[in-house]
Amino acid sequence: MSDLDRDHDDSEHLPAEYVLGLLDAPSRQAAERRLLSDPRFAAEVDFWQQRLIPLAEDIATADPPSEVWPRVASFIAGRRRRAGQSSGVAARTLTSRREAAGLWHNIALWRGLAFGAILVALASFGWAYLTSLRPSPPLVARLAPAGGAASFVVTADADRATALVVPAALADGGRRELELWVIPPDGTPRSLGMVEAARPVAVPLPHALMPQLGASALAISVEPAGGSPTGRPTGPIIAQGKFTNL
Amino acid sequence: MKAESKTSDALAEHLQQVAANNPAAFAALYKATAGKLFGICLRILHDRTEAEDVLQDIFCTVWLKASTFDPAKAHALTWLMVIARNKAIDRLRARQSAQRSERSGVPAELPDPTPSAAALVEVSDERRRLDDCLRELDQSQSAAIRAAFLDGLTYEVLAQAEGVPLGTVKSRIRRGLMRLKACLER
Repeated sequence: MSDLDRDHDDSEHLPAEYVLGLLDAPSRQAAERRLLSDPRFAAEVDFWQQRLIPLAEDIATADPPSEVWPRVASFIAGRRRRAGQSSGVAARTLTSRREAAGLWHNIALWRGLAFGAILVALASFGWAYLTSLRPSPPLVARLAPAGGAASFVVTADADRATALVVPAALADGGRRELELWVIPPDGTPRSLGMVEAARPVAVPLPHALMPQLGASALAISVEPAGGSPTGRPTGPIIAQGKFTNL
Repeated sequence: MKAESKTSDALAEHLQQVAANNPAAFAALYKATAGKLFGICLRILHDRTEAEDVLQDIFCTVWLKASTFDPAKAHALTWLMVIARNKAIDRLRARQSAQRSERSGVPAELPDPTPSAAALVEVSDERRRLDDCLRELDQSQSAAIRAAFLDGLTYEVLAQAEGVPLGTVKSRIRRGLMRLKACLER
């Protein structure tokens, strides 16, 4: 009887002690297990969590490392792709790819990422987005100014005949009109449309050019508003590169 | 306070969208809260690499568990901070177990128990109530409670830091908790 009383005296404080973090590792684990089986205990823990968490308002925010977001995004894309595959419903996969695109197109998050981190994300998240259910890998081109670091990454999705043009964080943020050109082996540039330095843009790929895409080069030029009036680049080329397999 | 509840409402919206598998809402949630949650991890773990790992774990958990968030029961930021703090302390305990000693968790000195002046400028209602109740406790009680919460210190570490027996710290804090609870429930 007295043992029971003593246990009760100590254990009435367990919820608060757990929340405060006062418990050593084994006691903490025991408390966590008890959360699952003891609703009254869980309710007490909840009370203390809610009441004490305002203390955390004092804690200073800190910029998280830029690698964290691509890894989290890649984790989600992986789960969504697996969910889509296991459900076996093509329509749902299409929806999840569109939604994954929403994540991908949220430049506010990509801005400020080191370019290496973007490539990491591309390799994991972008790949998952572009290649789910497809046997052929996407083509990737890194576009860079002469002798400079890459400023754009272009991935080509052959099945959807679309290319995604992603600026690196270091891309010129000025409000210039930028036009993307594909240069197939015959050497004649063909416009793929306008792209932006501040945001990923998806451009359609002409079906006629698809067979030679892997042997084609890409270039981005500065043009007047609305694009080149001549059908050929008229302004300076600010970045160029060739497709390779990822 | 109206401004704060607007922010909480926006976050709760995002969280509910996340529960509906909306990646854009999740991205917005990350942008709005990752800094705060990373700060919490850093405060408890004092190690950037570990804090980074835990932050990643936190947001993956948020994605997976967003459907368990009930806006009627908690503010979104509260929910997130609780997850963050729990994961950070879990990691801290795991690290301490691995090092086979909880002595490594002793901070150079206990953190200042009084809130910083900057913090006093814009505090929530809940924080004000908590501070009022903490002020009713003995200085040593409220200091120990704050230290435990902010830095994830165990009874043992606190006892060492203050140079008092374990039993003394335990009964001091427990008495403080009882008074705190009575005050909060008023």
